[in-house]
Amino acid sequence: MTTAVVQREQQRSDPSTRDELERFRQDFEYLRSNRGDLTTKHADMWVAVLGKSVVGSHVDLEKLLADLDLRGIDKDKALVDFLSSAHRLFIL
Amino acid sequence: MIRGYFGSDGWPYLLGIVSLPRLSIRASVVFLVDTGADVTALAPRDSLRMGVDFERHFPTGPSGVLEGIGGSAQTYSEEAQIQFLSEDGDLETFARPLTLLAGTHFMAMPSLLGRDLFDNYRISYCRQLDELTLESFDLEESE
Repeated sequence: MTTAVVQREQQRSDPSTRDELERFRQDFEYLRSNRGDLTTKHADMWVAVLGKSVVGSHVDLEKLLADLDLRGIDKDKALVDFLSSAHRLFIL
Repeated sequence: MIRGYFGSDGWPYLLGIVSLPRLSIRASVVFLVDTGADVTALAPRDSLRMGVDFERHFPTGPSGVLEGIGGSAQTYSEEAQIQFLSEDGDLETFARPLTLLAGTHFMAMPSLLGRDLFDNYRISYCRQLDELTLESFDLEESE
């Protein structure tokens, strides 16, 4: 396989992008640290995390996203993941 | 140097921002660092969250098929910018076609950071130390 040509550049980050990625990292850390408790509360559901809190959950991802839209929550900035009650093994 | 994180599932992740300029779409995305992935791919869960409508946005149809152990999925190709924050506060920006996975078969999977993006990085990986870093590698400087 031929490695794809990638245009890569390094640039000073604008504060808003940096803040956005930092907030996203904090939400990732929140989910990582609280996954056990959150899985108990939202077992086998999709959850949306924003601002270090769960802002929505549903068994159906499309319905969760529609609910976020309805409530004016910016789903593009939310961390959305599935909280499985079963320990799943994957081979990609 | 870009720092990654191990999830509670033990998987190695990078956090980035994906922009699809033609579709006026921009969103935060969690990427699983996958040395088995030939290309970087946006998972169906993220395409759905970002509002990608394959029928409307890609009227000419899919561009290919991606094969994996779990099955296959139709793929679409879209020019994208992928940005990661480096440790010194700079943005590492990649401008390239991004593979979008369609269908619900791979809904459980996160987006994948493939070798097409990290081939030019030296990866330090140690789950025990909770350490995952990608350092850009300049072949000329190393010689």
